[in-house]
Formats: sequence, C-alpha cells, structure tokens
Amino acid sequence: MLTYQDLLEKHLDRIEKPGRYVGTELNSVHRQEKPKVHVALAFPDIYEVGMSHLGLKILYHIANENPNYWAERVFAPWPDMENLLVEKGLDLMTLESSTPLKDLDLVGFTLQYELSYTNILRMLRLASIPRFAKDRKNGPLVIAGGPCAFNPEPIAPFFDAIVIGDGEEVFLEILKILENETSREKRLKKIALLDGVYLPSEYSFTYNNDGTIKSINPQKKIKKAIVADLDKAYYPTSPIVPYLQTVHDRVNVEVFRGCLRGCRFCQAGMIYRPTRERSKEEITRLILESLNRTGYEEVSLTSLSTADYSGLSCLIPDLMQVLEPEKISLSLPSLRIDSFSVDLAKEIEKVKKTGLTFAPEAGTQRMRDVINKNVTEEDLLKTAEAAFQNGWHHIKLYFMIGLPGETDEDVLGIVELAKKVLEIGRRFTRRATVTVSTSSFVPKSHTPFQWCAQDHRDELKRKQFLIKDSLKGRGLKYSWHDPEISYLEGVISRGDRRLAEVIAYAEEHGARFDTWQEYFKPLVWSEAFKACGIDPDFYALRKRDKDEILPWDYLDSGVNKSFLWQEYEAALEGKTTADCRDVGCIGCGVCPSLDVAVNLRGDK
Amino acid sequence: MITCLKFGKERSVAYISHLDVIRAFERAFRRAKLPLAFSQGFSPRPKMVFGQPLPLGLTSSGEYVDITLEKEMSEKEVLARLEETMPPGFVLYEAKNLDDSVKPIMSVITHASYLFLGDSTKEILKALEYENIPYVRERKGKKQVQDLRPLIETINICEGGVKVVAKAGSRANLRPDALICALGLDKGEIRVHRENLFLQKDGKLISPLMRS
Repeated sequence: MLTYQDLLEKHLDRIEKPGRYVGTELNSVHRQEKPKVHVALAFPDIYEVGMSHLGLKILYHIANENPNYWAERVFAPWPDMENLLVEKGLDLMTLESSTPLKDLDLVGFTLQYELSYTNILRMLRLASIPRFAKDRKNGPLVIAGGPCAFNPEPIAPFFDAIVIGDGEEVFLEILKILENETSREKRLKKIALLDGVYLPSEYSFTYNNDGTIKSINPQKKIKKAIVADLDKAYYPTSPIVPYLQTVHDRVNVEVFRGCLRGCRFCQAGMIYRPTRERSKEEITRLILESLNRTGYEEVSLTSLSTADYSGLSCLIPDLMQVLEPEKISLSLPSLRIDSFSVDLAKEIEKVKKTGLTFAPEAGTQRMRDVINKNVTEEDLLKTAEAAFQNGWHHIKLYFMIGLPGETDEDVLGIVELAKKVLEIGRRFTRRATVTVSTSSFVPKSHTPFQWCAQDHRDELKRKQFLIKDSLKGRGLKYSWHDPEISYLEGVISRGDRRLAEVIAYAEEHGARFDTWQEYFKPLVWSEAFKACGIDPDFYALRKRDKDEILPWDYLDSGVNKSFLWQEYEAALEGKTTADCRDVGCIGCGVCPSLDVAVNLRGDK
Repeated sequence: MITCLKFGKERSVAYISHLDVIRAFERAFRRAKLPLAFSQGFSPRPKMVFGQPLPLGLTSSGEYVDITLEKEMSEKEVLARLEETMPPGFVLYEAKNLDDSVKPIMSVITHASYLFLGDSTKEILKALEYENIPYVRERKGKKQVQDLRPLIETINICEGGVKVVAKAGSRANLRPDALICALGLDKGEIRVHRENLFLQKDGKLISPLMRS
C-alpha cells in the first residue's frame, strides 16, 4: 500500500503544502499493533483549519488515552492531493498510518459550518464509502457531531448517527460499544440508546402542500448531551503541535463553555447553555502543563466571551506573572466593550502589542436592542478612547448587516460609529486606523431569529455599497463577506431533509471548499436546486409562522421554544433581556430541563 | 554564549519547510527549558541562526543551528535536555560551545555534500566530463541560464548512488534538484540526502563545529 510519504516522495512538485500530510507531529499518536477499535476523526476542511479546532483535540486525545483505541485524523485533501489520490487509484487515508478510511470501525465528522458539507461528501467519495447511509451495508459507521448537528436535517441521510451537544463523554461510550460489539446493526442499536444520539433512519417527515413540514415521526425528542462539570471533564494537555502554521497555533485552554449574554442572533449562545466555568486553579494547571509539553509561545483563553469569566481579574495578573518572564504571550480571543477589557488588554499585551477588536454588531442603539447586544455607543467610545490612550493605533470593529428590521439609517449608523471612533483616535495619534468588517446575518436554528426571513442578496449588496460609498478617507478600511455565500449558508442552515439531494448533486458536479472564494461555484448550486426541483428562497427568504413545525423541532437544546418566541417578540419591539447572572432566572428553561446549573466558580 | 548544534532530518520530516523547522526548534528549546537569549524589540524572538536551508524533500545528517544562551551550560547538558524534547524525525548529533566572536553559521558555509540515491544516479557521474552544465530557469518571467559545472567539486560512487561535493552558501550554491533537471533525469526516481555542510579553511573543508 502506498502511503502519503510515498506520494510526497514521488510527486513533491505537485503538492503545494506537503506538510499537511506528514502526520508525525509532536504528540500525535501512533500504534505499533492493530488496536481493538480503530477510528478516524474527520474534519471537512484543510489541515490548517482543522488543526485549530478544540473539539478535535479533545476527542483525539480522550480516545487515544485508552491503548485499545486508536483515533487518527483525516482532513479534506486540497485539490492537488485529491487529484493525486484519484490518479493513483488510492482511497482517502488517515494521516498517521495511511490506513484507508473504509477499513476502519468508524469515521466521525465534525459539523462546524454548513458550507463544509460538500467536503464531507467528497471525503466519503474519495474514501470509496457510499455517501448515503442507506447504501452502506458494511464498512465503518459514519457519524457526526458539532454545532451544526443542531439542525442536522440537510445532511441527515448521509450519517448513521449524529451526536447532539457536548461530545466527549458520548464519544467514549461509542468507542466502548465498538469494542464490545462487532456487527454493524448491533453497534448502531446500542449507540442509539446513548444520551444525545440521533439516528436519522429512525425519523421520517411528512409535508404540507405549501412545502412546510406536516409531521415528524416519531414524536420522541432528543435531548442534547451535556458535560455538567468542566473541572471534572477531560482536557488534553499534550495537544499535537503542528509543523505548519495553523489558524490558532497556540495553547488553547477553554475557560468556560456556554454564554448567557443572550444575543438573539447567536446560535452558540443558545445551544451551549448554561455557562459552566473551570476553576482558576484548573485553568492554571492546564496552561502550565500544556506549555511544558508543547513549547508554545502563546496561550489563549478560549470561550464564547472570555471577558465574562467571573475570575478573570485575578486570573490574568496571576498568569502574567508566570508567563511574562518566559516571553509567552497571552491572548483573549473576544473582548467585551468596556474599559475593564482595555485594562485587561494592557495587562496581557506586555509582551506583544497587536490590534484590538470589538464587536458592537450593529450601528444604532435601536438595532443593538433588537439583537440584545447590551452595549451603548458611550461604552464603545469610552473603550476606544482608553485603547488609543494606552498606545493602540488600530481598532477593528465587527458588525452584521441584514439584521431583522434593519433600515438604511441603521446601516449608515455603522459608518458614523466608525468615524466617531477614528476621530477619538486622531486626538491621540495621526496613525489611528479603524477597520470595519461586516458579515451578513444568517438566521440560525434554535435562536429567537429562527423564524425570520434572511435579507435578499441584492439587498445585502446594496447595503454593502451604502457603507463602502460613505466609509471613505484616510484611516478607514472596510471588508465584507460575499452575499452569495451567506445566502447558501442561509438556505442550508434552516433547511430540511429534502436538501440532501441538492447537496449531493452539487458535490457530484464539482462543488467543494464552498467557503473558499476561489472554489465557490454559485452556478453549480443554482443548477443543483433546479435539478432537484427545490426553491432555495423557501428556506432562506421566508418568514415562518409561530406554529410552523421546524425541521429541528425534535431536538431539545434545553432552551424552550416558547422562550425563543418570547425573545423574538421582544426583539421586534426593541426590548432587551438581561443576563440571568445579573437579574436572576429569565426562564430560558435550560437548567431544569437538563438538570444542570450555571456554574460561576471562577470567582471563588 | 553561542552553542552550535548539529542535527539531522529523517524521512518523516523531509517535507517540513525551513520556516516550519525554525518554529519547531524554538518550541523544542522551550520544552527543554534552555536559557535562550531573546532579541530586543516589538516581538522578541529567541536568538538562533540556521545554516544553509535544506531544500524541501531532502533528508539530512548534517544541519547546523547556532543558538545563544544567556547562561553558560555544558554541551552535555544541552544535548541531554534537547534529546528529550526534539520533535519526532529530528536527530541531534552534537553540541559545541563556541566563542561569542565566531561568525554566524549562515555566513561561513561554503560547501555541502549530497548523496544522490537511486538506479539512475550513475548518470550523474558524467557531469564531471562536461565542460558546461547549463540549467535554464525562469525568474520574474525571464529565462536565465546558469552553468552548474563550476559549482561541482567532486563526484564519487557510493552505496546506492553517488556522492557529490559542491559549493553551498550565500555566494555560490548548487541546488540538487537543479543538477537533476539539468542532466535530464527524473526527480521522482532519485532520493537526495544532504550528508554534511562545510566551510573552507586553508584549502580544507572543515566542520562548522570546528570554526573559530
């Protein structure tokens, strides 16, 4: 059997980044003997993106702790390697041992973004594994998990099982089942009994004449799996250290899971509820141990909103005391808009001073109230002032356009805000720059905006021009997302099972790497919708009624649908909802439903 | 204090680029808790200087890096610590403490020895008979012809192929793949191993570890 190594040796000139296929990085796991259970963790994007993903690291190492198991990695091969594999008649193989995926017990895909779905199909095809679950009589079980599993319907027919929620404990249970059972049917039957597991083949849908869902059968709901106590949860302190520079090339320690801010557009803020913090002691231990075993020069405290960690004001100075003499820098991936955050930034950027990024998300107070981003213009301007005062020259502002009920005034508010920030910066330095970045809002399942219509792409383009035309002058920069890509994301993110055929068709006709501008093929997609007789606008641009059965209604994230509707109505009235940490329970339902509690132990 | 390390790159890491090797070493040094000296300025980096970068795809048993330590440390101690922390696929052979006044490794390298391994490599012996070995390459859209012959010092038969000693370094440098192309051979059929790097002193080739 040819290995990646053999391929690189013979055809080095054809492979742009051979380092992607090396597979022997520090802390990667290799086994001499055939393990009892042999699986692949598949990330449907390139190595540099996949290797930055925390979930993959956790699952890889938690499985490999057990000498009877071997979890290897596989990423989407870049077209250069794909062509080489096809030309040589080779099936897609794992990175560590060049084992064909089809010889394994299980292939588990992570669902991080909708536009990676064609890559999943391409990887299955390259592996000679039938893409539709119903066509697989033997070979590995193909499963999935990750945030997009909260609406798995558009890809449900491709998977034998899908894990909803925190995956680490469920994954170990699955491996145990694979160890004890050999037949495909028995394995699946047992896996189906685990918490948080959905078997697409057990569910069916009927439709009304207008295309909406009439019924989902059976009525049984599937509750997400949850890790209640992060201090007791497994966390890898010997993560693989890639040779290639990856997107997040550093020690990443997750300081908490979940977020209670309640931004109404944010799916992660709903599906990962409630907030569960790690203790300061555990975080410190994980960081020091990881640094010893990796040699990284940077540490990042990750979460959905790290500045909200309750013990941050103690944790940061304590950490800096240890890290600074070692010339190790600390980064916080998301800053809150307040002066506290600038103080934090000041503290951590002693080693290296980079730009500061803030996310007001919307340009006017009215719009920020609609999305429940509880930040005022005064907050932002004060924060910007503090940042410039402390020596930063460059501030980046993130916004969304296409939010529900958005007017041109709201869009132009983005420009005004950016100009005000720049004006403040000019008072301190002539070099001040402000970069505005807008993404286009895509309504997601399990959020208060799951009933909304998405803005038409022509409308999004018009709004982008509106900004571009007025955001001119020295020190101002603007970057934006392709509305065509956002539209497709919008179609799939709230799609149902009928879309599976479309995705399969698009992949067959050349779609893959859809998030990569140079590979995105809108024509192939529109052809795919036409060929399958499906109107994409039905999914993206249509406003849903309160009583409509949504494709993901059988999935229980713990947050009540009635709470989401209540939040939707509040949004339309421009009313905000506070964080339950400040005002007490707001009745989202997650704690009683999952029998867990908000855990703010960082402050202890 | 400057410590020069001699290391090798095995097959599994032959596809790691020079920049990636630099990063991997930095991290290995950190894991070994070596008291590295850092550069001043905006983003401080550990002081380390590599010899002539190894082209992608080659294995090697003769690579060098100079590191600067803040505190004196015995060669044995440096080796012992690093042996624990080198990333898989990298081999450490020797460490040599040098005077602070030595010139940096990259500026002193003058020669390299390469093993060309494979059935077709006997053809390379013929290079000695040629007066010129023109190598055509494109640079910024213009065709350039380089004569490789003056870069070659000696060629000898060795086990599995031939050994070529050639000029290397910033002044004149033979790229092994250029020689293979210029001679009309198939790159996919030949494995190249860099055996060692040298500097010329008093007409003799000596190891970079022996420089003063």
